Amino acid sequence: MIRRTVVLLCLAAPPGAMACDPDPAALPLTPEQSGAPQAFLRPDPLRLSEPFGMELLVCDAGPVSRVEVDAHMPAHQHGMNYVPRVRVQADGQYIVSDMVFHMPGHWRVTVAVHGATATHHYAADLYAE
Amino acid sequence: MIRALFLTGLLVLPGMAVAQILLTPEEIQQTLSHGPWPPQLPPDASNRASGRPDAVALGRAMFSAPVLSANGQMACASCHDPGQHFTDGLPRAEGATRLDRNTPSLFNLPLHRWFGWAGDSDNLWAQSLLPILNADEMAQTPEGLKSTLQASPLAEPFETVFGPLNRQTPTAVLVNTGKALAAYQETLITGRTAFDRFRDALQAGDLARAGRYPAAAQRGLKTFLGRGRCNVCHSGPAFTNGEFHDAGLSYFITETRVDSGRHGGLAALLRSPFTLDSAHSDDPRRSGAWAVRRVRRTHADFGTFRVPGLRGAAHTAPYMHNGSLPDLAAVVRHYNGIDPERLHTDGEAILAPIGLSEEDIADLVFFLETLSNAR
Repeated sequence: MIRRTVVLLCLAAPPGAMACDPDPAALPLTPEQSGAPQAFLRPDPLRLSEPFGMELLVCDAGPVSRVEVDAHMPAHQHGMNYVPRVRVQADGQYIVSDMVFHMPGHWRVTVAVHGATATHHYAADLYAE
Repeated sequence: MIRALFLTGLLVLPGMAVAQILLTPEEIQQTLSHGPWPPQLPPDASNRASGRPDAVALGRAMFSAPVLSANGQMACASCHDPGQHFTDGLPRAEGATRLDRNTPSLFNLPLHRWFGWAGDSDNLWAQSLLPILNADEMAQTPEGLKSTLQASPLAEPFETVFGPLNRQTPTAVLVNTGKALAAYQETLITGRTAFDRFRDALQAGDLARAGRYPAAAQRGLKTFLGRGRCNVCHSGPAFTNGEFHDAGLSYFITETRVDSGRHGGLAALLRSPFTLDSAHSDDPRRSGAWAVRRVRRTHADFGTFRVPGLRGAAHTAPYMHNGSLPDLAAVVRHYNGIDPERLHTDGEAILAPIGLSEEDIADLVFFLETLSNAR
C-alpha cells in the first residue's frame, strides 16, 4: 500500500483570492482534477537524507482550511520517514519544512488543498541524487 | 562545474588513460557522492563537552572503566573492544546474559541521526546511557553511578569538566557521564582508504592516479552502484542513509521471541527523557530536535534495522543486526539470493535476487574491503 496521507493542519490559513505570481523557477503542480486552481512548488536544494524545505503557492483557491503535503517513492512502495510541517506564510503561500528524501531516485510529492467546498489534489515529481 | 568539465574531459582523453577507469560518467558522479572523507564535523551543540580535550580524555578513561557497572566488572570496552574495531567478534553480544543483537562498531557515529540498531536514541550521549542502565549489561542506577564515581579516581577529571559531583543530581551525573563518553566516541572516525584516494583522484581529474585503484574493486563498485543497487541505502560519505530497512532476515530471536527492530526503537525513543527535545540537551535552539518531533511511526517499522555504514566494515564481522552472517561474502550472497517472501509485503520494494556470479561476488567483496583498508 502506498502511503499517501500526511496530515498537516493549517487551520489559520487566511481566505481570499490572490494574484498568481510564481517564481520563474517554481515547479507547476499537476492537478488530479480539471478546474483546480493553479499551484506551484519551489523546493530548496535537495541533499540526500537531509531535511529540506519547499515553498508552496496556491493561486486563487479561496478560503483554505487545511493543506496536506507528503511524498513517496512509487517504485519503492514507501514514503518519507518524517511528517513534514506546513505553515502559512501569506495568502495562498505556504512553507513546507522537514521533508527528507532518504533514498536517491524518483519521489512524488502530493499536495491536498482543502477549501470551503472542495479538496484539490496535486502531484509533482522530484528526483534525489 | 568542475565535475561537468571533468566528465567531458574523461570522454575525450586518450584511450590508454581511459582504459584504466571502468566507470561510466554517471557512475563517476555517483562515486563522488561517497566523499570527501573524512568529513568536517562541528561539535555537537547538544553536548557542552563535545570537542573539549579534557572531556575526550575523561570519556576515554570512562570507556574502559569497569567501575561504571554495578558489579564493577563490565566496561563499555568489554563489548566494544578497541582492539577489535570496537566490536566483540561475536554474533550477539554477551552481557550478563546473551543479548539479542550484534555489537555494532563505534566508528563514524557523529554522522548518525539515530543510534543503535533500532534507533532508540536521537543523540550519542543518550545512546551511551542505555548499556549503563540496561539490567543485562552494566545494570547501573543513577544513584549507584554517582556514588561510584565520587569514590573513584574518575571523580577529579569528571569535576574538572562538569563541576562538583555533590552539586549534581544522580540524573545529571548520569547524563554528564553519557556526554563524556560521547565526546570520546565522536573522535572515532575511520581513516582514509584506497577508495577515498580513487574517489578524490576522480574528482581532481587525475586519471593516472585514479587508475591505480584495482580493476576488481572498480568492477565491484560498478555492481554496488548498478545491478546491486547497494547505494540506494548505503549512500553518502559514510555509506549509509542512516534510516531503517527490512533486510530480509528472520525476525525471530528464539522460537518464541521476535525482535521488533525500529518499531520498538521508536517506542523507546518517544518515551526517553533524554532526547534532543529534552531539557538535558545543551542546545538552546534544539536544532536537532526536529527529527524526534516529526518522525513517523508505521507498522512497516516492524523488523527494520538501521543501515550500517560500510567504512571499516571489513573489520567488524560477523554482520547484520543478529550477527547471523559470518563474513562480507555471506552478506553479498544473502542479498544476491534474497527471498522476497521474507520481506514486508508493503515494505521496501527494491530488494530482489540479483543474479551475481561468483566472480561478481568476489569483486563486490574486494570493493567493500577497499572501504576499510588504506592500501
